This record gives sequence, structure tokens and C-alpha cells, in this order.
Amino acid sequence: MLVEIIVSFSVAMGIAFYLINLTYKFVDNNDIIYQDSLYMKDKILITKNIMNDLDNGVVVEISSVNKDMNNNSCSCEFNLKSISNDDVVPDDGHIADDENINEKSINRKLEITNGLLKYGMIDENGNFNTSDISYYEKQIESSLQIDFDNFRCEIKKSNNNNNAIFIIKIPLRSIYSDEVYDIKLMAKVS
Amino acid sequence: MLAELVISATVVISTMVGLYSLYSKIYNRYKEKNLYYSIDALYATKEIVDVMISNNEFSTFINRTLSTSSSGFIIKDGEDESSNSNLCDNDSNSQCDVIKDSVNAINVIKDLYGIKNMVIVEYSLCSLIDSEKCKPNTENGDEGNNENSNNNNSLIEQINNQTFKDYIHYLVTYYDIENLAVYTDRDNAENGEQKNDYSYIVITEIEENNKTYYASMRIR
Repeated sequence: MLVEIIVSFSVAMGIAFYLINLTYKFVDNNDIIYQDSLYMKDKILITKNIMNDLDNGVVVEISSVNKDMNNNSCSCEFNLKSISNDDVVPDDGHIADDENINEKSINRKLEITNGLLKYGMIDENGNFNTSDISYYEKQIESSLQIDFDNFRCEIKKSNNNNNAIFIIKIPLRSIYSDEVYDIKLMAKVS
Repeated sequence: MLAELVISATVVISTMVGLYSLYSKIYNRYKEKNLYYSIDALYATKEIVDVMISNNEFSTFINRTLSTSSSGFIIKDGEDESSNSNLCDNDSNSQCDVIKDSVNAINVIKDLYGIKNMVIVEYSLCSLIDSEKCKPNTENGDEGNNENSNNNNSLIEQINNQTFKDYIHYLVTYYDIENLAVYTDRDNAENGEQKNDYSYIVITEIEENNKTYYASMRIR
């Protein structure tokens, strides 16, 4: 009987250890997948919504780039010439023979302050026009940190200034791991 | 008592193992979605194809590479292979300037997204995984538009990276390429084959966090 008790005890402890180990792996992997899916969701939504606007135009110039680590903010203002297929008829009814009549040049701004990302058309005072179709706002997941030192908003030119590319790179790092979830945006330059 | 313990332990362990295998299936599915549907790789593909098309380089590239082979690398191992820019080293005509600007734009996009490989392949089973699986000619003796008639190696035979090979197998299964009609002008599907609406597929591999991510874009 003593032997039975010892053997049963050993088997029970072995099974208990195995189950605890399995449960721990379940929870650990589950947490990693959960966090990863949250970060990927943010990245995909932000990329898709901003690129939908950038794909419909060409960047003319960058107005300003600001990084303020003390206030946890960064921003990039640029001028986007939006190519529209709609005919534009002036008030006097006279359509000028101008190939640029359908191109509207509008200021755009990308701003991140305390994890809140805003993108869209801005007015003369630098305020977002929230009713415009280009406006997009998203609160970035709190466990993602922005690496302000490596925030980029620039135009990469070629020798002849043709095929220049406008790029924005928002470096995001998880506080739980070394994984990066950088948001990369680009547009053509006129 | 021992027998009861063994029986109950067997039941508990079987249940736990069953749950764990289900979890593994879900995890693998998630991993597949994460690696094979990268938004960065998708936009990288789209933007580079757009640059090549706007510079009239895309059709030139296809004619240059796919006339002698079933696949052509636009970017290989991180290097641009899209144009004949090496022919312009001692030349300064306007066409060379366009080519060099196009290469510059492609390099900017390549560096931004971390593109490791980008290849355009004929949209057929032969070109993707097995050059020996080309379908025979029709009873009329016509050659198929997508047949690997040049008998070159398929894409999977040209690459060494196992994860890339896994992705190509995934694409073949996902798009059901095995059952595609070989000839694009075939209107009626035969033996359950699908009509082939696409001519090429662009496959992109990017590297980030020491991991590789993939995306593809089919072209008519």
C-alpha cells in the first residue's frame, strides 16, 4: 500500500507539473498573439486610411517637420496636389483652357500627440478640417512607444528631380518586446 | 486507487492535448495571416509596379526577362535588377536619365520597406512550382499563353529560402493555381478547370525584425 501511495503521488505530481507547464505556455503565447494582433491592427488601419488619401495626389513640398519629445508630439505638414476626375466649373461658367484646372492643392498635416494620431486637411491656422473626407484620427495602442529621434518626413530626390518620393516613417516600439511596428507611408512628388 | 488515478489522468491529459492541438491550429492560422498578408509588402509591391509603369519600364522589363524565362527578379537579395541601367553608365541621353531616375525611386522604396526580393512570374503552376507539370498542347496544336515553353526552372527551383518556398506553395493552394486553365483564351472550363484571368503574379518578400513577410499581386 505504501508503494501504491508513493507511485500515485509521483504520477499525480508529474501530471500536475505537466498541466501547469501547458497552461503557462497557453497563457504566454496567447498574450503575445493578443498584443501582436492589437499592434498589427493599429498599423494596418493607419497605413490604409492615410495611403488612401496619399495615393490620390502628389506632394508638392514639405512645409514643416516638428519633433517635441517633451510634449510627446511630432508633426509633418506638407502640400498635396489632389488629382480629381470631377470637372471644375468656375462661377462665371467659363472653363479656362488649363490642364491644371482639375488639380487642387491643399495643405495636409500628420500629427501625433500623446499617442493620438491625426491626419487630414488643415486650414490657414493649422487646424484640422474634421469634416473633410481625408480626415482620420486614431488613438495608438498605449503600449506602443514612438521613437521620436527616428521619425522621418522627407522627400528623396533623384538627380533630375523626376520620380522623387515623399516618405513618412513613424517608428513604433512595443514596451513588452523588441519588436518594431513602424508605419511607413509614401507618395509621389510633383 | 492506482487504476482510478491512471484512468482519470488519461482523460484529463487527452482533453488538454486535444485543446492544445486546436490552439496550435489557430496559432498557425494567425501566423499565416501575419506573415503572408503584410500590408507593407503589399504597398511596396503596388508602389514599385506603379513607378515602373509610369516610366514605361514595366512592359520593357517583362519583354526583356519573361521572353526567355518564366520569372524575372525586379529586386534580388536587396539589389535592384529592374532595368538596364548598367548600359547607361557612359551614356547621358534622356532615356538613360529616365531609367536612372526610375532606379533611384525603386531604391528609395526598397530601402523604406526593406524589400529583400521582388519577382514577377507567369501565373501558372509550371512557372511557380514545377516546370515538369506543364500541360500538353491542345488537340489543335496551339501553344498556351502561360505554358512554360522555354523549359526554364520554375521559381521554387531558383530560390533557397524555405519560408519563400512555403509561401509559394501557399499561393498555389490559396489561388487554386493547380486547376487553372492553361490558355487564357479558353472560354469554357473543362474538367473543373478555372478560366485564367491573370497573366502574371508579383511576389514580394520584405524583411523586418529579422523576420520575413510576404505579399503578392496578380496582374491581368
